[in-house]
Amino acid sequence: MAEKSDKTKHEITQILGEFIRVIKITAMYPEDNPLPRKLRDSFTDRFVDLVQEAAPLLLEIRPNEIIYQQEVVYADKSPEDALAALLYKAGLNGITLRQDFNLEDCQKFFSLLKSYINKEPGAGDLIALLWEADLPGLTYHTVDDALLDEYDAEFLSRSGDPVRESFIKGADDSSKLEYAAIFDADDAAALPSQSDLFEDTLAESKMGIAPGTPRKQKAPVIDTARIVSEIFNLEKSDMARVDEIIQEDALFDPYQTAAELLEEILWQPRDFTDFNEIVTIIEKLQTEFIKAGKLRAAGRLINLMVEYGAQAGTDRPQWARRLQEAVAVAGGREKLSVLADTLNREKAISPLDLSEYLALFGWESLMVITDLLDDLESQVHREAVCDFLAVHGRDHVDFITRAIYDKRWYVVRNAASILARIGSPKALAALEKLLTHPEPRIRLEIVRRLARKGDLESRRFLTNLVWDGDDLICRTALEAVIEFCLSEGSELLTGIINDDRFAGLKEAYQESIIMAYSRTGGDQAVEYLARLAAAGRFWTTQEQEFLQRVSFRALAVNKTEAAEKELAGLARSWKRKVRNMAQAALRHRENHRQEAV
Amino acid sequence: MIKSGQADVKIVLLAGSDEHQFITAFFNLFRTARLYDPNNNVYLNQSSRFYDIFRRLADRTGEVPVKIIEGRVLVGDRLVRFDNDGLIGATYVIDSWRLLGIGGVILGKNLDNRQLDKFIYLVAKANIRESNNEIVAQRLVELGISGVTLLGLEKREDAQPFLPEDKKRQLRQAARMTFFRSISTVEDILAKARESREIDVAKARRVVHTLIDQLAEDESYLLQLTALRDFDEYTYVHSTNICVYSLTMGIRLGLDRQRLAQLGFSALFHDLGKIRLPGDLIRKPEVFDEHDWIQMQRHPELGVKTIFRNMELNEFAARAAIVAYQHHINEDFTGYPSLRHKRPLNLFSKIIAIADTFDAMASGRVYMKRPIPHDEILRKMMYQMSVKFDAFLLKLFVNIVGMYPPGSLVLLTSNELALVSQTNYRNPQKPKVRIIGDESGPFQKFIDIDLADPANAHRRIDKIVDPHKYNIDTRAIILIDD
Repeated sequence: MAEKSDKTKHEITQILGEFIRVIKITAMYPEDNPLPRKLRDSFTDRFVDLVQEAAPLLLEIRPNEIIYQQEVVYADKSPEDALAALLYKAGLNGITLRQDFNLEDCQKFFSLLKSYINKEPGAGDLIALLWEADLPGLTYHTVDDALLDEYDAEFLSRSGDPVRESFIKGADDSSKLEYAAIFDADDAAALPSQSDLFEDTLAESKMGIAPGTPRKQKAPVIDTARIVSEIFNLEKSDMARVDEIIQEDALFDPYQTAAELLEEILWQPRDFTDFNEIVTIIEKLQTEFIKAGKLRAAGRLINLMVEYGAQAGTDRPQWARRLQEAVAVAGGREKLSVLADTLNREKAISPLDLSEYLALFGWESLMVITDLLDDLESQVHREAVCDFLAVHGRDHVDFITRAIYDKRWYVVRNAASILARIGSPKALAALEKLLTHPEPRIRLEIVRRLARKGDLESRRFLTNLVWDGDDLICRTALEAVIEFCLSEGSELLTGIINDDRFAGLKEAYQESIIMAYSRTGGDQAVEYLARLAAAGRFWTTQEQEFLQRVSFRALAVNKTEAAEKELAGLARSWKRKVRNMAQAALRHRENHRQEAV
Repeated sequence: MIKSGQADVKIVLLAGSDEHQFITAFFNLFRTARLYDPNNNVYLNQSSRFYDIFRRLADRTGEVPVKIIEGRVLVGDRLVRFDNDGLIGATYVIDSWRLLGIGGVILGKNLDNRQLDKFIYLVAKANIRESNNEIVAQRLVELGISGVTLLGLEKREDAQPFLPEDKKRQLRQAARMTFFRSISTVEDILAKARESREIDVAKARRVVHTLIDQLAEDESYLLQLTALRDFDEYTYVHSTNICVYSLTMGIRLGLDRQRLAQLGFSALFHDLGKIRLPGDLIRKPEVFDEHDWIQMQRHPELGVKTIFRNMELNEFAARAAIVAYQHHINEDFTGYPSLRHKRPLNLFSKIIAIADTFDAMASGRVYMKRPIPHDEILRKMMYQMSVKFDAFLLKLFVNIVGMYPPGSLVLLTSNELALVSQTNYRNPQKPKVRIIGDESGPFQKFIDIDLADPANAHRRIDKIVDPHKYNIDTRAIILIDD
């Protein structure tokens, strides 16, 4: 027996020792990951087996240890692994696990402890969680229960009180007469008098009691039997009504309700002190809405203050100013930093909600919103903020431009991203300053952003980046320019080809440019390509040979007659190499024509 | 068998987890059958699970009888004590069966799944106005459901299971402790709120949890204690009473645990705004004048502000705030405060409005300045104030407090003075009472009887007695243990 008890204690020690660790490990993985699930299941299986063997399992919880059968079976080792302290601080001083504590209960218990330890929303009160879970096989004892046991006995039963007459107040002769009057059928006091019933008409009117019975009428018969027969029994239609009521109530939204209430009380203040209190409450709740990720509800409060401020206007300037301050604070650094924390925690908040919320603030908040980008972890949210600033910052580019001088590269990148999105002449002028920024991630961001814009000015700007030393930047810029030119014309390509730096580009890039120029340059391109084709009378450099080869390939794709004629002429050249390349180009054109047919 | 008072009492065993699981699943299946058709996956899954549970029990015990006696459920000879979730299904089914005249069923050992489903749907979809237990029994035969036997409503003289006396005493004691602890907690919380300190939400929730657990065990003891209104600080008692009434209604409606906790919490704080009114006004013994009323009518708005200022926003706080604001608005929006937008009242506001009006009028401490007898209050609420309340919820409330609410002082036709201890839902005119005296004087030993017991046929309630008129301290009676 003692051996069994020791074994049990040992198992309890093991289980309790692993509890927090298992919770922390399972919390590191997504819910559907098999590894934590397996770990949890293995743990809960062992836990339930232990309870089945040793039930009822009474555990006493002390500030830093857990006791079973007067022995310490668990002691907190470190602040990170302190199960006893955790439970005790939550208000528990005992847990009893009974025979019917099954696997389902155990998993629920595990789950709610996990929620509590991880401070999940709505899981701040462990005892409330346990009560709501109502696990049949588990009873918990709280510090409050212990206090209740020592409760002041003043109100408790007075058993054994021999003086039964104590329910008659006074217990003197007049009291006894009053008692006897109860049994007197003619006792006037038994019936309500007219004046009694209608004494407090003001109270009755305030309580909404209809003035149905005039004063002079005889007191009505107390017809409780009628009440009973009419309304006492619930009918089937009443049961259906219950279902309706429950379903309607399930739609309750605490945030919407709070916003509606605030709207009501905002319109009721009597003086500025009252009003100021309400606005302070709105500010507090607005922060809580944001923390909960309820941006629409938070936005509603902003709108409420703006609307009321507009109405207060000149009649109540002090009130209007107070509201303006509140709105400004809502768009200030502190509140938006709360927003950033929430966005980092709740990655599912939609970009649209975020944009709509930010749109409530004026241009004064642009700097702060730009700073918001620094703190956002989610790419989706960052994009949303950048898009927002691109639209709303268009007329206030200066605010954003300031950020390009920041020492932090990512701040500069964010600013560059926004300026590129804006794409106005002023924005592009600011971006020019970043063309030589040493951080390639900034230049790449500029390229990527501008590449998404379809306008000429952005593409023209991109031509600056064709010469970038970073290959990725160069290629991305080039691809964007070529893509634009294929539909919009070759003007930009001409500029690149004529640039002294053209020859410094990679051969593959040069070829791409020339090919694109040929496709879009028409007769003008043929002239240029012909010069390249005829390069070098007696000897050619490697570079000239390369360009010559490219020029024939380019002529092959040039759709003009001029290109056809040029190739026909070159096909009769005395230089065999030229003659062969021209004939190959002509064949290519012919094949292409036939394919088209 | 043991004897106690006038009646023989059979000691009843409490149901274990198997019976508990069985009956909860059984009742939930009925509710599901009302909402879904038999081919719906929700119903099919529940039915399959229930059948497994039934089979386990039937293999052990043979047939499985389920009886409902005076609102209590027995599986075999074991009394099922419900938690709140189980109470959802139980209350609903108990009432439905009663309306059909069904006092129980015996599920035969050989009952198969198909027969079971047919039976469930037959009863769940039965038209109460057109059916009774005979018609249902006939349909069972027509449908070939041989594995189910219907039982009629049991008459009172059959051996009725009661809780043992010591268990009753324990429940009474627990009810008292819970009740007074609630008052003390409300006092403590409001005192701190008055000093603008944070409201101890966790503490309030604990109290509400305990009240809910107590009401789920047996509501009559706590309802009896609501009759104790003779306290110096009425506000705290009033809040506790509203909480008890509201929770009882919430349980009847089948609210889940979380919503019950929110309802109880809202009830405790529905008058929180009053802490910001002058204490002299709250305690004013004379009737209010117009100026007093103007001040008093601010308390809903003040309540909202106090809650939002002192509590973190969550479902509890939001519910409490909406109740604080709406509980005097009235269903027809003729109350106070005035509204910018007339939105439908929240369910909790409607519940608490009813409970609040009843208790305020019964206490004579707040508005009317004299206590009004319960039946007069009910009459006023039903006929003079009917448009102020949700009709169905008012009916539910009357159903709970009954014609003679627990704690009422009554005179019997046998010329005995008695205190109502428990409403009899099957027979509201014949509650359980405690006889405390007759014309010769108070009794040395009080006598607990059930007026519905045929042995007490010579006793009926003659009239309700206003204890204040006759200087009777009902508190002394309610708190005395034998």
